[in-house]
Amino acid sequence: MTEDRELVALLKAGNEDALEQLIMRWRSRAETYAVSILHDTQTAEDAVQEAFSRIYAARASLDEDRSFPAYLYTIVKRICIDELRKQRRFPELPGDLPDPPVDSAETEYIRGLERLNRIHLLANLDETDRKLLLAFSLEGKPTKQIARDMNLSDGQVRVRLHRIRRKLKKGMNDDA
Amino acid sequence: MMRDDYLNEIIHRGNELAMLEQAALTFPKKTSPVRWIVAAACSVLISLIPSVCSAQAFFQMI
Repeated sequence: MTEDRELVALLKAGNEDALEQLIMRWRSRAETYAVSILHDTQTAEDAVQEAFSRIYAARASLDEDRSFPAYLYTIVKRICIDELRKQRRFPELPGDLPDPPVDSAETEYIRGLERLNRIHLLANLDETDRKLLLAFSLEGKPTKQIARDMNLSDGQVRVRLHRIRRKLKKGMNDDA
Repeated sequence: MMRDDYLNEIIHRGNELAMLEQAALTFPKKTSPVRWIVAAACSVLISLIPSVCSAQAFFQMI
């Protein structure tokens, strides 16, 4: 059986079969862990799927010498915490959420990874903000045109862009 | 089955996140914080002007 580290190396090179094999190997265990936090199977499955997506987005930064399950479980835990916050079940999160069944030094290292933190923040932007960011920054559209396309005022677009910028900056500082 | 659905969704969402990241990385270079704070403040003020004027006119009538 191919080792995780070989699969991660292949994934970094863009091999989707390697991702599929990692999913088949770790999906079920990660879902069991997510259920232990969320107590809901469907939400737990969604959280694990989102975690694999974030790993795929950051694949170039993965380190094959680190534990793959540590990456997966750390991201899953973070998504689960966000989900609990969204559901407002825990305005103050309980401190006794189950720890991932991996080396805590590995999870500490992964929690500090700037790229994963950035992807985490971006994944939590609402749809309008995501569209604005892509239109302004990637497509290079002027704010007036974005305002027309999205049926907003130019002022609203500028204010939203300013907030996105602030959110990203603040989030990165908080997570560092 | 899995390749068609589950994996494709992961790849699609992963690519979307990667694109957003690219946008976020070029974003700060295009904007200066001071410029955006001033722009944001001005837009708020401009959007308030009509209501301030109407309120003033209303109180003058009284």
